[in-house]
Amino acid sequence: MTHPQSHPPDEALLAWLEGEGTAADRRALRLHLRACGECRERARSLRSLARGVLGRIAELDDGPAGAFLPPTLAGVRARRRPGITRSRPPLRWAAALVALATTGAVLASPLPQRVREWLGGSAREPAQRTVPIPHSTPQTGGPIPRRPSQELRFVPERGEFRVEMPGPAAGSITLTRTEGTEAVFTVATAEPGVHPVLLLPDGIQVNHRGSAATDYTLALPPRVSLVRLRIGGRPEVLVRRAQIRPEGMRIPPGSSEPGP
Amino acid sequence: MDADRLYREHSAALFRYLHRLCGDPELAADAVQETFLRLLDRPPGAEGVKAWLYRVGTNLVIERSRTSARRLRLLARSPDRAPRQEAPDDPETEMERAERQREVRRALDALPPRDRTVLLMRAEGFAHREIAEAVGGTTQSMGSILLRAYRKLAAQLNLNAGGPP
Repeated sequence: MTHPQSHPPDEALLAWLEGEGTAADRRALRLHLRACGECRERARSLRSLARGVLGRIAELDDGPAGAFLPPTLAGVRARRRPGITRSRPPLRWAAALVALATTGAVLASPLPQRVREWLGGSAREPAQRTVPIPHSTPQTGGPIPRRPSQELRFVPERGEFRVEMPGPAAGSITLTRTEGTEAVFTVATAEPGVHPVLLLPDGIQVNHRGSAATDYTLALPPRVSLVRLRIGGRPEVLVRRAQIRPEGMRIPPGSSEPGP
Repeated sequence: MDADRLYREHSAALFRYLHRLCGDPELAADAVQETFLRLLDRPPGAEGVKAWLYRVGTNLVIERSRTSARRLRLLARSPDRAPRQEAPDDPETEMERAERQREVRRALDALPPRDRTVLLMRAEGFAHREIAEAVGGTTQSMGSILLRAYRKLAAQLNLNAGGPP
């Protein structure tokens, strides 16, 4: 038999369920539960609550830490530069491209004035520049090698944009959906763990959103009507604003045009 | 203190926790690295190193989230930032999984930072004492704090809340 005033509160039951408390406290509560069906039922309910919540949290798919972290502390140390705050990779790369655009990575062919303004550059500058982008590291399988670099070329021409990702980053691009002026792309590559990175000029916001299958958000300003994308040796893909539909679209492998 | 060993043992889990806390893998990765740099510069005293790592990482993420209006805007309009690991075999299954993840992400984001922190630390297996060290408070108070957080998240997710909130 138990007395209502001796019933442990829910928080005490939860602490007991989670292995908390002194040995004496735990023993006392265990004895109470043996005798009190009401508290046993509450304990069962609390256990179900905790398991349910923690189970849903565990469903969060976090992606491999290795894609975002140096494999060793030495790698972290190496990144430290006195007086310099590290920027996040996509922002750093975007900044590099902004600088690239600012110096005028523009073809000799005349650009519309609005495009020149957008790029902020001069038509006399070289037509192409290269920007190194890092690979992510493999998730498993022994020592993780040092990240190689990969060249990405950006060629603005006639108000259109071409991003080339040569080498092992062959894969596919899927425009999964649009959110307002943002186009969300999933970029999957043939090489596990490789992160291609789309770099576009200032005004197109690129956010890295994923891991092995990598999502990018491209915020397309109203004046941008077309984006050209190329990965590896695949045909160039043209994405026109008019083709970007709220439900998204899939660009089939080997195709140069978005699918239905 | 073997910092290299600590990094090997804890960096991935710390990243997972911080990623869940803020929803932004880059911010989480930055915070992990900064946490370990601080460990090198100013190693903790007698307190548990693991709890110290999580406390410092948590503070860094919260501090940077607060001070970066841009990041907050990104988070606000990208509630579905949970990344994927593999290309889906079955698009429907993948969509369902993604939707469930978005639901959890939204529910976590709706919690006060302290509740989110205690839940995620608990999900990492921390004892009440360690959570109390990280977020402040007493070990004895963690039962009620956690219970409230469980119930809030359960309500957000329409789970059985195990009693009144």
